[in-house]
Amino acid sequence: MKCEEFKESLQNFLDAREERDWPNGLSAHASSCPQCRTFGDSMIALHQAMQRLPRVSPSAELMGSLKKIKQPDASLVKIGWGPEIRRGAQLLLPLALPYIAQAFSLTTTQHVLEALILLLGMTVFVMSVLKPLFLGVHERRVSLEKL
Amino acid sequence: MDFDSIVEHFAERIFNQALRVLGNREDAEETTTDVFMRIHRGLGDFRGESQLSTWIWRITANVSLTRKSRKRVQMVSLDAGEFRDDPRDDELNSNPEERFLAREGGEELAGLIAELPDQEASAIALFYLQEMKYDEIAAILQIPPGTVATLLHRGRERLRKRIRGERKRP
Ligand SMILES: [Zn+2]
Repeated sequence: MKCEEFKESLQNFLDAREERDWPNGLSAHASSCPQCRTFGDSMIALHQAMQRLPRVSPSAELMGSLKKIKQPDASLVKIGWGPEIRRGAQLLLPLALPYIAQAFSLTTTQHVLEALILLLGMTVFVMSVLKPLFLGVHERRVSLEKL
Repeated sequence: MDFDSIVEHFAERIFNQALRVLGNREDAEETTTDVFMRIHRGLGDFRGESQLSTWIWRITANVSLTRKSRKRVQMVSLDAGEFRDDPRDDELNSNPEERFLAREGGEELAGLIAELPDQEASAIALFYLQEMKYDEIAAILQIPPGTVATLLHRGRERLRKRIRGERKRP
């Protein structure tokens, strides 16, 4: 067995998580090759130390905030637009389009007012589409504050 | 499995996985929160294309690695000179390498794992901490099982060199 072969087989042996002693081929090479003997010993010490890696308990605060994730948050509801408004805005938009087109070509006060009202409607519509993005950011901030 | 049971069953494991990959408690806590928010959002749409646990671990791996690459790990590491022979654990016939591995209940070794290249740290933590098999790790990291072996082998080799390298410092 060559040294490279020894290293590869030793790694595979560790991957198999076997508790038994080294297979014959490995121990035969190790007994005649001090370098591989050292390599093997330190690999096994490392392997065993990693099996004993400490498990850390998450804090009670973290556990508490994880359990709260599923509760609807009052502050989220307050800033959220209702689905009714969204539906209303979706209905309004097709009706609004001809007026918007007109408003851009006419300049009377009445038309400007109409255009403003319709632009407001459009804003509500656009914001309702963007709402999930805003909520995503907000939701994250709220939960981090809870930690 | 409902959300409460998922928290009950996975929270501690996910926190520890994130802690080993990221190397500090603060990042691990934020990562864990982020993972559970994603689980909560996605749970309704989860159709079982993969096992629930694979899906959860995949989210954990992705969120941890994203955070890690964003922060480029400023973590507790072994400074030169920090690796010294501590008289407290000076036992006859125990070599410095073994003492390093045992120091502070393995916390120093854990710190070195977080310094490994991202995928190696993930694979090592899934293998040793979560006691997963090749094919489970492969499904989570979305790589072939052969690559899992490569990551584990390289990770171990790198850790061994780091530990021996640290030992040689004055
Ligand atoms: Zn050899």
